[in-house]
Amino acid sequence: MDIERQFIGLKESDEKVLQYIYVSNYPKVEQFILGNSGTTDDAHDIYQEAFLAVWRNVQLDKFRPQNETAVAGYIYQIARNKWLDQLRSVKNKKTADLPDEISHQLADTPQLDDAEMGYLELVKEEYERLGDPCRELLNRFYFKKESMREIAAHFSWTEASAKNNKYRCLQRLRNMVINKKENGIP
Amino acid sequence: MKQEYDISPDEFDLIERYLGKTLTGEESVAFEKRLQEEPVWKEKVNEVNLLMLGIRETALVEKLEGFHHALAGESLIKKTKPVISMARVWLVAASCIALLGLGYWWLMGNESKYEKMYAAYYQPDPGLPTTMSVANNYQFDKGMVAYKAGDYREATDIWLGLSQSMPANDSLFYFLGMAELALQHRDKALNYLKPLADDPQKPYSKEACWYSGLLLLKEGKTEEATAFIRRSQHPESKKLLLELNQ
Repeated sequence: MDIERQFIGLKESDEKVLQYIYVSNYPKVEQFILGNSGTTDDAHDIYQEAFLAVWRNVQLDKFRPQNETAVAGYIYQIARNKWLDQLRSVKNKKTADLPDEISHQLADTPQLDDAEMGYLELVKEEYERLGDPCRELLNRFYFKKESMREIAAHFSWTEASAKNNKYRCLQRLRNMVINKKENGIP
Repeated sequence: MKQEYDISPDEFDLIERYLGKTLTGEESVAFEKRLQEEPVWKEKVNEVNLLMLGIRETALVEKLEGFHHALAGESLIKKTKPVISMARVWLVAASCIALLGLGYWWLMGNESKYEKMYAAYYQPDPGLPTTMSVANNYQFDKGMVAYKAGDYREATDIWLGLSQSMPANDSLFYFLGMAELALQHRDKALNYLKPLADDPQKPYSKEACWYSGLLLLKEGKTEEATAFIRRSQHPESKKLLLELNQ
């Protein structure tokens, strides 16, 4: 798959491209983790974290692949570093090799500061509690990139109502996040 | 990040358009100026960005398990070489047909009786587990990963390169046939499938019979199609033959 298709697919969250990238890069990561004291469950968890990190960096304009193997290399590097960090944290001495510091630093460049990361995690938590209609509306607009016209047709609303409801849902989500953050209550 | 401010609908809209890079040149200049001059505006932009990112990320996380299922059976520790249970393949294909059948009939309203039957019974072979092992197998598996992700053109590109070094590989020809069939390349698909279908001793002969039969049925060549479909012993073959005889 060419570099532009990979990049646009990641940026636009094109499901077919995301699945292709996910499926084609998993075996190498699994091989590394199984060869370094891990299990298939470890490989699954670490790989998904790495995949999300790469996707997030593309969303935040912090990573743009420069060649056709860049996405594969970046996923592998992040997964490798995450697994080695995990091994170190449990003081497991069976690690076959350690990454060089430069590549480690590059792959682990913070995407967001702690406050931003905390806010993002709260958004994800509270989004799950938002209620089906709002979740569906926001999912259609922000993830599936449907237009307001398409969303209005789906819900049998006018376009103006769809836009208004989208704002209300966003505002509700924002209030839930702020309440949780400031008071620890939903 | 202290959210001691409100974000109005118009502000949400403007920030979204900025983040989506759809502001006009003039709007963009004014927006950037505001970002430089108003710290609160910068906070708002950052917050809306995180809200949007969180929504998208949650949606993606929900998709990841689905992606992982596409790898089912591919774990390196589970298998050392591709082995396929055809009963499982037929079962999956039958389930997919049951789920998608209604949709296909709806979509194919303007097509001939035989085209509708083809659409109702055709499901791509789900493919083989991959292992990423030695050189030739690695290339075959790479093609299989593309095939299973629905990238049939890339799969055929990879497998065609392999057909020079693996000239008599029936698995390779069968899946090249499957990829060409999915790409609706009728002649190429039949060229790969018919030699397998015509030799009952070959692996994938029955599967090749089923798909060759479906292709011929689509063209209204019912007699030839019936012979292939009967030989396929596919779980759906009896039902299809009954429909053909009605």
